[in-house]
Amino acid sequence: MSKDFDVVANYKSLLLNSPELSMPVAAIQSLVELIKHSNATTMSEFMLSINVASQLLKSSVRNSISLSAGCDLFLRFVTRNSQDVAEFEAWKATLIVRGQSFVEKADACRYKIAELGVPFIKDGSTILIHAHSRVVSLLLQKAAENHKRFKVFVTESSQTHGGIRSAKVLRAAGIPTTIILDAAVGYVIDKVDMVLVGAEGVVENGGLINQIGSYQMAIVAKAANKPFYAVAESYKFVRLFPLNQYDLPTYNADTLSFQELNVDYDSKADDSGSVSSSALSQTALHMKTSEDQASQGSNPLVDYTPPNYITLLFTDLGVLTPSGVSDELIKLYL
Amino acid sequence: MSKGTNDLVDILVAKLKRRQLVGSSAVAQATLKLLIVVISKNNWSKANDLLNLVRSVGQRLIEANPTELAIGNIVRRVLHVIREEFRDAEASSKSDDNSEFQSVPLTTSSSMYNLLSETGSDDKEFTHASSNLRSDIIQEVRDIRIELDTIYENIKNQATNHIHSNEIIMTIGRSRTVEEFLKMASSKRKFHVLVAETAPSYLGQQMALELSKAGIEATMIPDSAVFAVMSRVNKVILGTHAVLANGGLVAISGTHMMAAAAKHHSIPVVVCTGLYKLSPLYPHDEDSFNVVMNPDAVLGFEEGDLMEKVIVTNPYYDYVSPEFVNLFITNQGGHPPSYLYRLIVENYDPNDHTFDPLA
Amino acid sequence: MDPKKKTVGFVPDHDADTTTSPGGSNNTNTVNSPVSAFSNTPDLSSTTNSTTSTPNPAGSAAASSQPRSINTSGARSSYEPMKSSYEEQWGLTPTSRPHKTASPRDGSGFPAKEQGGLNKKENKVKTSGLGIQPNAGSASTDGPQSSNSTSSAGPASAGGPPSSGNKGGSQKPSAPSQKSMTKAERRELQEKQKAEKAARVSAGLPASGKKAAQVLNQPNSGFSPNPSKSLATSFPGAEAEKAIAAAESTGQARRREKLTKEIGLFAHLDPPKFANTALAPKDLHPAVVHAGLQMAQFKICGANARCVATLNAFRKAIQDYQTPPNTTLSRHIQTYLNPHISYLVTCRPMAVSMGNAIRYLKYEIGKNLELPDEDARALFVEKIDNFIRDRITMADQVITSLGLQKIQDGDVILTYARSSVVQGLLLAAHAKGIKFKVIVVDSRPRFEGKQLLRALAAAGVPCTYVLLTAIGHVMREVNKVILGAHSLLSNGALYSRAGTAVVAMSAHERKIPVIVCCETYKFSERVQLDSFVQNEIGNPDELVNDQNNNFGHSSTRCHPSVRGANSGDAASAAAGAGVLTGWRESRDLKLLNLLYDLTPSEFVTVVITEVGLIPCTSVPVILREFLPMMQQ
Repeated sequence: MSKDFDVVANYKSLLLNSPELSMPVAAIQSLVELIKHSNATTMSEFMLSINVASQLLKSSVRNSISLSAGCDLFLRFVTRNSQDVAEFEAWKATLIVRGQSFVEKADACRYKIAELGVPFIKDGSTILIHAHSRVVSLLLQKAAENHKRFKVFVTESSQTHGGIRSAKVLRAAGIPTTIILDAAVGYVIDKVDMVLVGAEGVVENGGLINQIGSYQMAIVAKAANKPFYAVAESYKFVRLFPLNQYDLPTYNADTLSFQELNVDYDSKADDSGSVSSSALSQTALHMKTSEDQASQGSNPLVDYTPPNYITLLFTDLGVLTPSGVSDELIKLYL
Repeated sequence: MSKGTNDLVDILVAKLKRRQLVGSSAVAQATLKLLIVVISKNNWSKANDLLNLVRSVGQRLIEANPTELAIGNIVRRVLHVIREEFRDAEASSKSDDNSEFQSVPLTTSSSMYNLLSETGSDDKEFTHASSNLRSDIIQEVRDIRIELDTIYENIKNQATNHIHSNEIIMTIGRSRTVEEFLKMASSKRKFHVLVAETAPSYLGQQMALELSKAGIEATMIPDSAVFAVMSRVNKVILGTHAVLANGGLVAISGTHMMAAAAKHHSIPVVVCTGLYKLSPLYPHDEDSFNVVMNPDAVLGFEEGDLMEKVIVTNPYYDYVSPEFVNLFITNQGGHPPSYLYRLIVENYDPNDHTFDPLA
Repeated sequence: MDPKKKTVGFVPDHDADTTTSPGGSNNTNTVNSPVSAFSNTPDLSSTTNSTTSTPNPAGSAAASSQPRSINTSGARSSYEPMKSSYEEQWGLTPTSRPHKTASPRDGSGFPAKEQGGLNKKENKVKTSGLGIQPNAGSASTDGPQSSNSTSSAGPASAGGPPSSGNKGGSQKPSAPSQKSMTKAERRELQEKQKAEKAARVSAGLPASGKKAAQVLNQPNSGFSPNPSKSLATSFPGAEAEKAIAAAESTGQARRREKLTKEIGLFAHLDPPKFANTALAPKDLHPAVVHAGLQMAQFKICGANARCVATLNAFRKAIQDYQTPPNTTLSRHIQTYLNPHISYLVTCRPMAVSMGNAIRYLKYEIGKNLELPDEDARALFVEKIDNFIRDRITMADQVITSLGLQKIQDGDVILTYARSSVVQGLLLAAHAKGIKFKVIVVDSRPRFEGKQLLRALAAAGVPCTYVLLTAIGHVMREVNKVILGAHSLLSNGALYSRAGTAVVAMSAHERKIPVIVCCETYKFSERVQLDSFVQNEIGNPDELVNDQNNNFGHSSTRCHPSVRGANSGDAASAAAGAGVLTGWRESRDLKLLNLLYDLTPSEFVTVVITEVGLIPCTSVPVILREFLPMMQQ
């Protein structure tokens, strides 16, 4: 066993060192590192160590959806190839080579997606994007390189401020970009020609798990009859089938619960019979502090967008309908 | 390319350019016929030689009439067949050698899985040429031809599965597929067809006439009455010019209106189409595959003084987005729109969506 | 419409009458068949097969003679000019309905001689002939025969009317005893029928003229089945109804349906009508007759125009009205106006706007029963003028000024067909200097949008013109849709020109605001959920785009470049014949020319009325709160 190797630390340092690396790729890279350091001598020992490591990885972060997609994919690969192993060490070496080539290819995935997605961006169109997604940014950059003229609205995404990051990247590429409030999606939707979002994970039915706010964006787009495209590398396809928002692995009992709002309205109101302005501001203050805490602990990071809201998914496997995603996942895991 | 086949290509290109040859079915037949000649009469040994040859012919044909998507579809089908044949030949020759670890991913063939498996380069894989490869390929291509010939038969034989007695069916334009479908159904069932007249081509008038001649109770309605009578319709059965990869249709102008009215009334929309009309292309723009016709049919040139003051538009096709379609009836059976991607995967190779020469 | 049409209309009446006196008429048919000698007879025989079988064993001989007479009437071409006489005949025709049926059969049967006559002049002649035949087997036949020449046709027709003893009283019993019989029958029927119905019938007969003619043709062509039935059905409603009632045989009715080109779903609606002055009762005021005719011919079209025309005609009628002895103007004027109203209904089903205006007029009359004659006359005339001014002219001005607030620079406005209010609004916006573009969407068969297009283009408004099928294509660039209304119903539904619903739906699909301009006087207490229960059927022949019938529009042209494969059909269409020219001869082919449709309220964003911008679901509120005030 590779007790001397800390897979979680490796994973975190990988992400820290290369900000363009996405979580599933980093996870696979960490697992490959683990294999390199592995001194397991039997197949079962080896499999166990990988399984444990991937569990460790998954539990190490609060939002493990994207990460677990990478872990599961690699585990599946290892398991599938474990049936006809002639020579254990040679097989391990092959795995390492494959894993490394995967990491190299992962980058190419995004370029392929960008290539597929660029034709969908029409000259003179306006595109609404959500927060920050590397692959979405790349797609838009490529489109700009292809001399497409278009404008972008990006939601601020108040939790991570990813929208500000996106705006920086896009403006640098010469794309006129406006940051809008998360609450202004409905306001701009009639001016928008298409909605483009990235994904943390694409689930079994072709639905989408992405940074919080994607779902309401999809609902608004649907109501306005605007196409809603998701952009995702295929290594983000994940074997999950959420029934609704509260059926996600990231959900816990504390998510958006009301327990922390312990402002005592009654006592305030009793002071003067009617709520004075100072009391109001005090209340607001209390609310603010408690909300700050709440947003750390109880606000969800991701939401789930059901497939009927998604027009198409741009992936490195091609442009897929949500049912095409299901097809790919079934083929891989059956 | 040999001179003889080159001449044949030129002839077809000219016909397409002059619009002497139009209509998906006719174009598909002609394209296939030409490709059989191209494959059999030219020298090639490597897969890529043949693929590039077919691609270059396809490219020329498509440029001759970019709106006839059936040309590209047939070329892609043929390319797919060629790849398959080479792959089979490769596999059979390889089986003699040693079944390596590498061949495993090939058989499981998940595209996602391929991310982690090492895929051999296409060039290498497709260089193998065996003696009877040519005849194998031509045989496969001929099979496509047989498929084309039996398309109407296969589609219309499903008619009684979809039409019940006393139905009121609405359609628009004139599609041979729909016409045969309804005529077949009328031999077993009694039903009523409402045909929108489809101004300004008035193909609907011909359709109504043809159906009535076949003893089907047909009522022609003006296009304006489509919404008004839709609530009494049981099914909308449409023909189409092309089906795009997302399930969207390129169909005669007015189809969108009818499909949308049907959706409003929750009336199922059925599209009858041969598989050769299914294109792996996406409608990046709703106008991508449209044709704008002579405005004379909309506002006569007699009214020249008015004509010069206004813009008259006469689009021939409509783009109908996939959410309006409930069922596709093809020569392979009935498919929901969500399954079309699969038919595309089965019939076309993703590398052939564009016809740029291979490396 | 043309006299031909009128004659046709007569035919149905005849049919009805014949049905009442089935024996005679039917007999004629049967007889005819045996009497192959008569040109008519052969045709009849074929047609009769179905119809005849039931009806008449008896007066076959007489019948046969009648058919012949019909044939003679084949001179029909001459009939056209004779319109007025025909109309009178129409009155006759009702009595002679059976004859008419016979005539259609004749047409169908008549292969050689008769067909020539019938087919060519077809409808008109036939109808006249028909009418004659029905009237009196013997006498009528004589008349027609004599009239064989074109000129004779006229006389024959004249004879027909007298024989029929029309409902309107214009009937002239020209025909022999049979005719008189028919007259009596007719009278009975007429009594039963309401005044409106009668009026409709008369109108319908003429109106049906075209159809009747066509119907006749059909029988000729191959519709051999029951000419009489077919005629009745094909002619629209009133006549058909009468005929049915008279016959009281469901079997006949069924046959009728088969023969006619009636659309089952719309069987409850009046068949299309054809204008005919001959139909009008004699004592109508000419201004009303004129207005009715123009409406029937769609020369006056549109809810506002029709309402104004009606009110102006009524004003003239009131001005010229002479109070009969022993009554006062205000007490008698309503009795006087009623036949006028009925006549208008026979010309074309009443527009909601007209109905509301007339109701208002009646209300004013009822309120002022005690006024002296001249005061009352002046008051009613003033009320009419005020109504036009306040509810239409001023209302349109207010709507225009409200609508202007909703049109901005850079707008792309789509509108459908033509509405006078919308046209006024767009022109006013242009005059105000707003830079906008208009897309005029139009549809067959009337191409009403062309009129709007001309007006806008003449004013210099940038316009695009497309047909309805291209709606999905053009809607992309549109940012506002402005529509007119025939009526707004109490459930918020918009009742307007057929095709409006598709336009509103396409806009709704793209979330483009749909603005409806509608004066409050067009609001209706009615509620309606679909386009079936209340609607109007236009003349299906308008849909046949041969060269004579495309409203000066080159609509027969096809796209040979795209549809080269079908060039055979396309060529024939382009040759001027029209794909559907022979549609009446095809057993299974029907044409439906629906004039209105119903747009669900969910598609309409706002209604601009003279009382402000309201959601269309507030129609009942306006009816409840506002209209009583307006009527003060």
